[in-house]
Order: sequence, then structure tokens, then C-alpha cells
Amino acid sequence: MPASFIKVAIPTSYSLQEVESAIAGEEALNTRFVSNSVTTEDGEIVNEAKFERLSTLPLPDPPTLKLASDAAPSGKKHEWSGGILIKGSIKQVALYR
Amino acid sequence: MTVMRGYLSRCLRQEDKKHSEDLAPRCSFTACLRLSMLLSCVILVSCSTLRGAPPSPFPKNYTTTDPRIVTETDITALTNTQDLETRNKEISKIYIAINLGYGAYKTSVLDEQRHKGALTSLFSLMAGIAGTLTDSVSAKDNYLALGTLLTGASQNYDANYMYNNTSIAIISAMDTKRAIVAARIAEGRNQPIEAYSGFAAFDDLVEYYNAGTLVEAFQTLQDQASAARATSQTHLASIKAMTPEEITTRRSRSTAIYGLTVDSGNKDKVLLVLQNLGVAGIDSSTSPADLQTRLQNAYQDGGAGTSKPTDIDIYNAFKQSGLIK
Repeated sequence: MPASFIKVAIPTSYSLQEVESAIAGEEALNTRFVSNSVTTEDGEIVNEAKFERLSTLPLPDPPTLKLASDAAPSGKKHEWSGGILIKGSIKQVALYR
Repeated sequence: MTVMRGYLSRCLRQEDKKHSEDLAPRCSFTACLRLSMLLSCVILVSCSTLRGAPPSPFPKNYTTTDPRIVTETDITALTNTQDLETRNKEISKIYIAINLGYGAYKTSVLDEQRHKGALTSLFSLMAGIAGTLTDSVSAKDNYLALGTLLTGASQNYDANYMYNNTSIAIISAMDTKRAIVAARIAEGRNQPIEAYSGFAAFDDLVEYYNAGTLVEAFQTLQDQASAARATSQTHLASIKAMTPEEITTRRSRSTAIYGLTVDSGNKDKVLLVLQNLGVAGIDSSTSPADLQTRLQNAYQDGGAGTSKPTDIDIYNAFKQSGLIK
């Protein structure tokens, strides 16, 4: 069956920790974070996050979000790197699991 | 053109006023020069090969055997007839005439590069002429710049859009609209004369002809673009930061929902719960596998805030029904 996705906005005023918890909350619905694009919607800059819909258990392990410049957490596997608007400015971040 | 014509008249009046006596010969020469430029422009417009529609097959007030031409006699025969055979015979005749014209027109839109070239060159030329007619140096520079821009734009437009995309999109839009009207005409031909009169047939044939014109094509494309824009403007739902406890609770609910397997044994019950929740597009013919997908998608969408019911509503309803623990 082809993968199906869901797109949502991550508030641009969030801190790194809040973004991480928002992603974890979304993934708790049995979706998996795929990517984030900093784009515009109705003239406003937004974080457009893409999640893949999963149909079987187990749920994905909770994600860990770090600034790309920070050291990778031990025992976690790198899954995605990219830009996210955090507190109004674009930060290069990495997602580990 | 109207603007240029107006400008020229004003110019001529001013010239006449300002230089009524001593400069009369020069005024006359300038006016003639400008007039000749304007006339060139008019001639170019009338010679342009770009047409917005195939040659109209109707009405031509003379007798002809040319199958591309519809005469007034044909139209009268169609609209006055009370006979099914005559109606269908006249429909066929006009239908063929329209198709012949459209076939040639379609080929010309797709193949003849000169259409686009003529249009862009014409604008280029008009800008150039306007530049020479303008006394202000800065305005003249602007017009010359516009001319250069149009020339450059022509190459880019040509390579990227006009022949790779636009012509095909226009033809496709015309074909689509024509096919819709053609189906109506074909259906009408099978109807008795009382249900599909000659007048109704003629109206449809005129619409069939119009469907193969640029105006209709642009209207169709505009409608499609509006629909696409409306679809793409779906507002993104914002997800929210959650506490670790909220995440843990949600993960528990999800484990219960995703642990449910919909099969022939519980299908009716699942269907009832989902219908009571207002999930649309499902009925007794929906397969267990599709029901399971609909349940999971509704749960994910509800949790993400993109639709109602929420994930919590769904979880509570399924728990209450005994389908999950």
C-alpha cells in the first residue's frame, strides 16, 4: 500500500523542547515525522511538518531533537536534519530516535 | 490601439496649436511620420495570424457544397424541422462542419509558432513605436526597456511555456469542453423530436463550436485553476506542545485503537460507531480493511486537529462500545 502523509504546522514561536514535544505528541497518534519545510501560508512563514501515517503497531520511539551544532545523543540514531523556525528564527536541527 | 490613437489626436491638436504659423511644415512632417507608424501598427494587428477561434461555420448566406460551411438554409432546416431524420441529418452536417474547422484550428494552435511570435513581436513593435512618439526622455527609456524586455521574454516564454505547456493545456481545455457538449448532442440525437427539438440541437451546436475557442478554453482553465487553488488553500492545522504525561496517555489510546482489527465479525459494530461519530463515506458495502483504514485515518486526523471527531472522541466511543479495552 502506498505511504500516506499528513501535513501540519508547528508553531514558529515554540522553543526547541516545545517543538520536540509537539512532534512526539503527533507521533503518539501512530505517525512518523518525515520532514519539515519552512514555507509560507497565507503570506505568513510557517513550519510545515510532514508525517507518515502508520497502520500497524508498535508506535515509533519518541524523538529527540537537537541543534545540528550540538553533539548527537548517545545510543540514538540520526533520522533527519533540516531547518525549523524556532522562536522566530530558522535553526538547523537534527532528529534522533 | 485606442490609447495610441487618442494620443496621436491630442498630439496633432497640440502641434497645430503650438506651431500654427512658422513651424507648420515641420508639424505636418512629424504628424505624417507618427500617423504612418500608427497605421503600420493597425495593419500589423489586422494581419496577425493569431485567432481566438476556428473560422465560424455559420451563417453563410449562399449555397455551397463545401462541408466546412454551414448556410442559413441548413440552420433554417434544422430549427424548423419537426422530423427526427431531418433533424439528425442537419445536426450531422453542422457537426461535421464544426469538426473540420476545429481540426484545422487545433493543428494551427499546436504547430504554428508564428502565432506567438506575431503577438510578442507586435507588442514589441508597439512599445518601440510608443517610444518614438513620446517626447519625455525618461518615458522613452522606459518604453525602449519594455521593448527589450518583451523580446527577451519571448525566447523564455517560447522555450518554457508556449509550446511545451500552454498550447497543450489550451487544446486540452477545448477538447474537454467539446467532449461534454458532444456527449449531450449524441444523447439528443437518440431522443424523439419532441424531447430534443431542432432549436435545442442548434443551441447545442453553437455551444459545441464555442467550446473550441480560446475564450472558452481560458474560462475552463480559469475554473480549473480556481478549483485547484481552493484545494491547495486548505489551512494547515497547528499541532501543540504536549506534556510527557499527555504523550503517554495518547500513546496508550493509540495502542488500543491500533490493536483493534476490523473483520467480518465486528465490522457492523465498527461501522455503526464510526457513523455515529459522523465519519462520512462509509456504508455496509465498505470492506473491513477499508473500515480499519478509515478508523485509523479519522483518529490521526482528529488528533492532529485537521478534522472532527477528535482522537479522544473516537477512543471514548470505541471504548464505550466494548470494541477496545
